Amino acid sequence: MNIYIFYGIVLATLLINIVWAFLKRKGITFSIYAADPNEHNTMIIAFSLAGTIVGGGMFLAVGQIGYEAGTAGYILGFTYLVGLAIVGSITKAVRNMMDKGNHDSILDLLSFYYGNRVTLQFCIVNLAMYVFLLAGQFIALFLFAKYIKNLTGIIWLPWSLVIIAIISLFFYPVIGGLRKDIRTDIIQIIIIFLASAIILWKIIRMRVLSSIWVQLTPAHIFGTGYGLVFIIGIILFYMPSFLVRMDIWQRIRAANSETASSRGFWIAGIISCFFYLLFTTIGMWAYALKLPVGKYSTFELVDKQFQNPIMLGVIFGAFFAAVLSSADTFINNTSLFLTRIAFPSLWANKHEPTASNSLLHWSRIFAISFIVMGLILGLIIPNIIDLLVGAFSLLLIYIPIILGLFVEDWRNERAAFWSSNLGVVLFIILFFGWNPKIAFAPSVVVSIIAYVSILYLSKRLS
Amino acid sequence: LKLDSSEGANLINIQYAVMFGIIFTFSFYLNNNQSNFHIIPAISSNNIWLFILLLFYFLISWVTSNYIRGNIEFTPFYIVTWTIAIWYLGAVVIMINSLGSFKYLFLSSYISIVSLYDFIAYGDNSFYCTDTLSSIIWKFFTGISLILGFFLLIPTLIVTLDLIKIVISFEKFTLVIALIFVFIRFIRFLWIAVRG
Repeated sequence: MNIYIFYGIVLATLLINIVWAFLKRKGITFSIYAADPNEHNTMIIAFSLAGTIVGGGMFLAVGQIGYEAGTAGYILGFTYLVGLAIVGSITKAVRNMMDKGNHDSILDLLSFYYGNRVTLQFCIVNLAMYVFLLAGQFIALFLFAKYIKNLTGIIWLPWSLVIIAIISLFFYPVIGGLRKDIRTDIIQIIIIFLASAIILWKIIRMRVLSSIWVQLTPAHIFGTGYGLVFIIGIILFYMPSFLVRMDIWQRIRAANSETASSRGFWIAGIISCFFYLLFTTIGMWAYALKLPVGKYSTFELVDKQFQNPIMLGVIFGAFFAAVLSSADTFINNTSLFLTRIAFPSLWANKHEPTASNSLLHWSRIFAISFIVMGLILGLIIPNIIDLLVGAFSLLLIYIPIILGLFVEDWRNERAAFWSSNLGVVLFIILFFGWNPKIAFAPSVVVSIIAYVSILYLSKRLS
Repeated sequence: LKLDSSEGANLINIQYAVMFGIIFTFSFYLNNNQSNFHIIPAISSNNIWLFILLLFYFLISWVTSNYIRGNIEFTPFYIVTWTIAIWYLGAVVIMINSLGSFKYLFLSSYISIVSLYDFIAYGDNSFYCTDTLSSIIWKFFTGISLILGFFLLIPTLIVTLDLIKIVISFEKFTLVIALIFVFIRFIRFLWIAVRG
């Protein structure tokens, strides 16, 4: 394989992304940076959502799940499909709520219905989780660099690509906020589709789907490689997680109509499900071929099956597109969380020009800071970051609070504050003192029980 | 063409009753010789728990249909759809005692299709999902059974299409999935009973 053609193709995909980001320049206000309200049609919303979901983990973690646990990765895909469809069904209610109070984000709604301290607490916990998610994307880039370095023996080649990708993150999401984030998601998802089509063509041509099953164990076929509890856990903790994610709510607001947001979520669910099915199959294919390492199974398989440097370049270019499409969202979200924490009074007046300029200025500074922080965390504690990214479902401690936005009887500021605090404290204790992989599960359950109990007691006492 | 509520419900009830009779007939056989006369259960011990579970579900389905009779329009499309569902479910229960993996494919298809229908058709603005919160909860539960249906569908398809050569035991796996599915449907029944 000609390594320089491969390098050129990956570089070209990265440059297309950067050029696309700056092709259309318009003045950015804080509202555009944070929410870009009523701007985008169905397909753009669908691509943007799918782009955010398909991160670097799709190439690494999902392939690994396919390799180690077989069809369990398919369940993950179905869960995303159903989860996004559920959110799609409530977009009308969410948009009505936002329109009624001229709110731009979930933070505004929380602030309006639950007050400042609950919003502050929400921001702090989300900020921590999203920083870890961002660091997780950088870890994926570092893994790519290590893998290619071992493969080619050339250090500068993968690292120069990684550095260009990171430099681009310092510019387009920082300058353009959510608008550039959504805009680049379009080209990123097209590149990922192109790479998927190449892989799919190989799968069909080699009749992989009719041949791999003979090589797999019953646990792979049933998807119970990690146990049935893992499957149930995925369904219970992943499906509702979309309801509490700020990046998902941003897309509801960014859609130009109710129909666009609702259909966009359905289509995004189908696209995401397709990618999960594909990358799980790649992992199983790698297992069937007896490739040695689960973590690199997708990379290894792609490297073994595609000797053509152009095709290989497009596939690894898609890996970069996947990483960037998630990382830019996490950069945007982390900067917004900290801006809300640091300047609550400015945030309350964000539609005034002076406040808007000031918030935009600080959001950009915070965005740059979090990129640096994510890089440092990814370099020094990659294993802990891996565990914390797995604990993302801790955000489900906010599920009763989010449901309370829709029903007045279910809304209680005291219950919201104390139940989520209890959930976080319990998570920290269990993460360090018990089992870091599943510490989030009891924390979420206890938090929800606490919310319901406090709500019930408050009603009785009043 | 529309039937009124009692006519439509009668039509559905008759079909449930006929199907129940067929299931009952297939569940036993007679050992009749000159000296004695036995009624022997036809369900093997491997499948007895799954059979009981699905029979229980069949009854829940029957009772549910009577709870919602006042809130639905008995159009020809609705009656035909329901008829297919009743006979398909009856076939699933009867087939439990058969050999091979085809029965599991039948069951997983039933779980997937019924859950998908519930997820799409009944989540919004139906008489038992009157607000956003209840719609979310409804979709969450039907979503779980939909995913479980797909989860069971994958291995049953692989085995039925003869893509693997190893012997796979489905009993325990199917029982767990079916148990969760029936539990969710029971919750659904209670929901409808309370709201209806």
